[in-house]
Amino acid sequence: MAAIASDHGHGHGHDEALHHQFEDMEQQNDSYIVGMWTFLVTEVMFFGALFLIYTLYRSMYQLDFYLAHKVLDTRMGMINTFVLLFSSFTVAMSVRFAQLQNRMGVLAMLGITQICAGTFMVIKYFEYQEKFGHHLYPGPGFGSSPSYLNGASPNFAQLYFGLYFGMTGLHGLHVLIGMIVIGYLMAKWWRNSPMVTKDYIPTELVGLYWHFVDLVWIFLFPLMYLMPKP
Amino acid sequence: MASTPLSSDSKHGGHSHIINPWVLFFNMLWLMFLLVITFIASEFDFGNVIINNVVAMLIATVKAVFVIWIFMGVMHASKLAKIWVVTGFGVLFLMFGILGDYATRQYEPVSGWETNVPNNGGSAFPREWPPQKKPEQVGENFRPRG
Repeated sequence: MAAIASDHGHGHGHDEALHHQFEDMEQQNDSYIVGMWTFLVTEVMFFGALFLIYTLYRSMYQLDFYLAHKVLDTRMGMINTFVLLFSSFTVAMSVRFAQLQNRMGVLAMLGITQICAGTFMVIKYFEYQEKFGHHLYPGPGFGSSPSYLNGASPNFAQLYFGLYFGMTGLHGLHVLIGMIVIGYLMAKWWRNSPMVTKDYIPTELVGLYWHFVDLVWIFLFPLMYLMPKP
Repeated sequence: MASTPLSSDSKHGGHSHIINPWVLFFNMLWLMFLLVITFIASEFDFGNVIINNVVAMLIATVKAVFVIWIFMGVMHASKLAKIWVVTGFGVLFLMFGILGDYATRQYEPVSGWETNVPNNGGSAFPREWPPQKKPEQVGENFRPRG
């Protein structure tokens, strides 16, 4: 007990970032990371249920899903995947710079991440705009331009596009939230806030969130854009 | 600007690990290479649609593992965090067991959910739309026991 108490005292004297309820920085950081992963696991289950619905309906209506998916622009999807993978690298670098307390390094890397996120959203905007122009959004007017359905049954093509807009839309919402959170983090770094400069964990946690966004897209891209012929 | 690294504090048990930037860079290149492989594999026919889908998902899973292990730093995380991550994805895997229900419906025939009807995958969502049956006929999702 005495040993713990002395460690505790030592920790307080050494690390400004150490909160009183933790024994040392290792325990504190571990708690933050496990907490963040708990949140991410709930996100995994949230997206997982959508992937389950998608798997079920695609296995039932393989041909219709395949024909409907041909409308998507694989090139746009590929570019977006490259952009997200690169942004994951820049976020990982920003965490590294945060650990080294290199303020400008963090700001530069997070800035590039923001540009990548913006690029992703702009590409997505053009993709959505094209689908909306062809009446390929679920609703009463769906399939009013049948040539864009490539011969798929309008009902099951509508199911496919419902899942497409639902899943990529929710992913896009996560990208948008990521941009806001990264923007907030950048503001903290810009103002030299001790919250981020004395403790790399806030940068690490935002990074974990961003990697998760990348992770979801890694599965969305082949499932939505690269369907094999049934 | 670089001062004392926050994580070099070995007195606290080396609580964080600074990953070599080259590891991150080569991980990114490797992921991009796998992305190109994903695209090439999607153009290639491995025999049947199930194998083609399995190959696509296997490559995606390998990509996900590299993102989680290296970019998300699970490689250097504590055992508790590792168990948490594995459990999280394990539960996701278990959830896909629900598909077993759909795969085995033919063994438990229920009116309206038949799998032996042409163009019907065993769903309450009929192949014909709007449904030809009246709603009360479609809604019989139980059968008398005994």
